[in-house]
Parts: sequence; C-alpha cells; structure tokens
Amino acid sequence: MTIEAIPLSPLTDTVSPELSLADALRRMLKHNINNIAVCDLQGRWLGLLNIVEILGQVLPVSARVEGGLTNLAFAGDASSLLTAHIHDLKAKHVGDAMRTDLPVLGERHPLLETALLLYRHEHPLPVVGTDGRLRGMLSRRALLAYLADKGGLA
Amino acid sequence: MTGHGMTPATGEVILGLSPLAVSLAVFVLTYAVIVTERINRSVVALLGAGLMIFTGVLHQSEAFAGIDLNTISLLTGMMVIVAITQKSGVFQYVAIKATKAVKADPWGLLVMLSLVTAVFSALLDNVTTVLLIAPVTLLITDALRINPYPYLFSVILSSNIGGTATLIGDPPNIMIGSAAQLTFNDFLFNLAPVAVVILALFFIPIYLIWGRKLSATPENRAMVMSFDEQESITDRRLLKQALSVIALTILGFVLAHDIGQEPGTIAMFGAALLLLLRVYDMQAEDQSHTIHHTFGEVEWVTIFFFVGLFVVVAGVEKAGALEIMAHRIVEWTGGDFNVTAYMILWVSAILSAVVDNIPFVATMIPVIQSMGGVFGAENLDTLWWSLALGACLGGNGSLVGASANLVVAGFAERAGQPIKFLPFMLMAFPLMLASIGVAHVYLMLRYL
Repeated sequence: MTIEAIPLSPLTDTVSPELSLADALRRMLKHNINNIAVCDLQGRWLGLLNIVEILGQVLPVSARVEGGLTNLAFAGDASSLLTAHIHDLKAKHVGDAMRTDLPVLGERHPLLETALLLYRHEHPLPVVGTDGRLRGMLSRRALLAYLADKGGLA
Repeated sequence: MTGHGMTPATGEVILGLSPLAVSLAVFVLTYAVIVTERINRSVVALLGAGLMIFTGVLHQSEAFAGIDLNTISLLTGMMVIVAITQKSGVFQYVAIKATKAVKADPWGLLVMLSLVTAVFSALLDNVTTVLLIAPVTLLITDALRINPYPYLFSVILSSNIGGTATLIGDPPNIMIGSAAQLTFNDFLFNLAPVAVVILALFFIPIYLIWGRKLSATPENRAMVMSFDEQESITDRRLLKQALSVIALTILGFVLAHDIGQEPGTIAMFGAALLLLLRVYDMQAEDQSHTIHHTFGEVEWVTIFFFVGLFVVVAGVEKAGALEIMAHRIVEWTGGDFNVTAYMILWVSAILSAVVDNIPFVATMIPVIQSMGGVFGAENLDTLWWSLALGACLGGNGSLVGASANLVVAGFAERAGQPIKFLPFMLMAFPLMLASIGVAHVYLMLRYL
C-alpha cells in the first residue's frame, strides 16, 4: 500500500530561496500557516521554511547554536534586540533558514514507512513526482485522517 | 613521564631490529598521523603506545611507568571541578559584571572580557573558559550591534596568555611542572609576571587595529547595562560549594610544596570533595545519575591522548633517542646555556603555532632533563621556563595552535561569524612573535 490515495495539503503558496525572510514571514502571517515550501522556478522541491526557523533568526545567535547560552533570563526582555533582529530579516533570505534535511516522499512511497517518517519528523513532508516537482505536502493529520477513514473510525 | 627508573633497551625488539630505529619509526609515524588530523589524536596516540609495546621496545610495566599519573590526575581532577562549577552560571555572572563595570563601552568591554578570560584561563582550563565566555561575548556584541570578531580574537589570545601564568593554566605547564617538580608558586613567581606584561602590551596593537574604531549607540549600551548578572546564577548553593572548593584547591596548590603533596592529589581530592557536596543529600539513584553525568563531561579524548603520548615518548626515551637529541641540541648551540634557552623558546613557539604543543612538550621534557648532564640539573629551571613560555604563547600563532582557538573558531562558525585560518594567522602570528620577543627579553633580564 502506498500514499498515492492520500489527499495532500493544497499548495497554496511556495517561495523561492532568494525571497527575503521578512517577506516570507509576512506571507505566513497573512495565510495563517506555519510552514511554507521552498521551490525553484520550475517548481522543484528545495526545502521547507518553518516558523520556528524564523523565530530562531530573531533570537540571539549566541543562544541558538550548539554550545551557546542556555539561559537568557539575565538579559531581561531585551525587546529592542528582538526588534533589531526582526529588521535584520529584510537582509536575510529564505535559503539561509530553510530546512533541507527533511525526507522526500515519492508519490508511491510505502504507507508504513511514511507513517514512521511522519512520526519522527515534526513537519509535514514533501511529496515529489518523478519529474522532481513538488506535488504537495503530507501532514500527520492527513495520514491519520486517511487511516481513520479506512479503519472505520471516521 | 621520566625518572621512573627505566632500563636501557635490552634487544628483545621484534625481528631483532634496533630498538632506536623501531622506536623512532613508531614515534615519527604516530606524530605524522597526529599532524594530519585525519584520525582522532587520542586513537593515534594509543595505537602508537600499543606499537611500542608489541614491537618489544617497551614492556607493559615500563609503558605504565612512563605514564605521568600526576599530570593525568591533575587534568582529570580540574576537569571534574570545572564541569560542576560551570553549571552555576558563574562565568556569565563575572562576564556581565565586568561589562557593566565599564558601562558597556566597546573598548572597555574588549579589555574586560580579555582580562576575565585571562584570569579564568590561569585558574581553570582554557577550553572551558572560552567555551563559556565566547557565547556571552557574542550576546553582548549582538546587543551592542558591533562586530564580534575583535572580541573573539582577543578572547583566544588572552586565554593562551592567561594560561601561561600558572601551573594549572595550560596542559604544557602541567606536564612541565610534574616532570620537573616545579610547584604552583614556582610558575606563579616566574611566569605570571611576564604573562601580565604581555597581556598589557597586547592591548596596544589591538587598540590600534580595532579598539579606536569601536563604538555603540547609547541605546544599545543602555540595554546591556540593564542585564541583571544575578539572574545568570542558576544555582546559588552550587556556586558557593564550587567557589569554596576551587579556593581550597588553589590554596592546596600554593601550599603543595610545604605539605608535601603533589598537585594531582590536590586536584583529585578537590574534585571528590565537590562531588560529595553535590550529591550527599541526594537519593542513591540521583547520586548515580549526577556522578555518571559529571564524569561523562571529563574530556576523555585529551586524557587518553596524554596516556598514549606518555608511552610513545617513554619508548623513544628508553631507546636513547631523546638523549641523542639533547646532545645534538647542545652541539648546535655550542654548549652555550643562553643560546640553548633562547633556542628552546623560539623553536617551541614556532612549532606550537602550527602543531599541537602537547606532543611537542611531551618530547622536549626528557630532552631537557638529559641536558642536566651538561648544564647541571640545578640549572635547568630557566630551560623549563623557556619551554613553557614558548609552548603556551606559541599557541596564539594560528587557529590550530591550541585547543581553545579551535573551540572559539568552531563556536563562531556555528554562529555565522567564521574566523578564517589565514586572516587570523596574519594578525595573530606577528602578535605571537612579539609576545615571544617580550619573553626573550624577560628571560635575558631575569635569568641569563
């Protein structure tokens, strides 16, 4: 059994890696979404931009990286620092913050393996056709909804 | 690592080969692979140690006798103490306090962070110091919206300068102190003065290169001034325990000679005492977890690297190679004590800038001990200071010169502020040579 029959999340929007993070954040806030797929001009999958990655860019890098500060309580609210980092998003690009380490699913990916990958990754996973173009994103919810329907729970 | 009553080679070496040739082959092979950095250095050193035994250059008992347990105990004990102390947040506390003392002025900040790094590096190990100072440095420069590079550069250099000042500041000093029976006070009285002078002089070029151009807006400085250093203390009880044990341990080092104890014993006892204070009121399971976790934070790669190196060097020492090398050096310098001291200083510095100074010092210790026959064992102290100054300060010559340099560079790279090898070296190598020039003058004025 493969994932072919599962309805994918509609691709309402994709962004290019050259887009500024500020513009990407505006789109995500406007559409009320937490993830946005990153594709090239031909619609080929490049990565995923998650709102967590943008939040990370707003945090001081000294606390974000491995071996960094584990406690920022001493810095107070430091709102001007956060605001300054929000402004810095204009000069940063989606390509700087997108995740490229997500597993890519084929349209006929085995169902059980797909369930395991979705269990292990917090983000929706891309489903890509044989031409390399992104078909859509598969979420945990979509998979469970499909399984619930098949199992007579719906 | 020496002075364990090793006997001359007995000729049971594999295939009847010359012990000198076999030991040198293993030694050169080991050091060559270490230099390539293709395989973890601790693994290479342990393999080299194994080869010294399997080829018959050393018997296992001789190999074990070659391991300087005083150095190993001192390193391990201090690593345990630091692993526990760092959890208290004291490093961040001091860094923020120092920053506020200069009202977050960018140049004052650079000076203060360098001083804090130097002092911590003199009393604890350099790697831990920079591991904890670098993130705070990056946060403060981020808040001030200024380039962090001059600060990270200065943290690296002041860490190695500070580490030069004491017996426990840098691994080469620990090894030299243990082998030459030099005390904490010996290092303090002989190396700390020149380290202080070098650190003070180091600020002149740093000011001319970067310092005079550093500036921050009043708003950003006000934000840094609003940092509350008290909030960086995560565990006040632990802080009190750790600072008390560190104070006692350093007092122990100062009095070590008078109470007839070795630094290794003092450091290990301090570590055990701090562990006891940490876990005495915990349930058995929590005790086990805490102890296990703390021991896990010891840098075992470094410890095993030392163990392997001690055995490799014991092999070439037993085969007589290091005695030959010592005689060669004396021949080159015409038997002139002063020239020998200067040569050790400069060669140690230049080599330590490009290769790991630990194997170099491990090799040089028995070489210098062998020079006792020429210059008199009672006159060797100056040569030890030459070696310590060269090996510790030489670490500033390049990014690979000392572990602390690589730790800061690694952190900076992860934080998107890479410190590149060549630009760093172009700036650091001349500064390192200048510091060795100061050390040269110091040796000349005080000892030669």
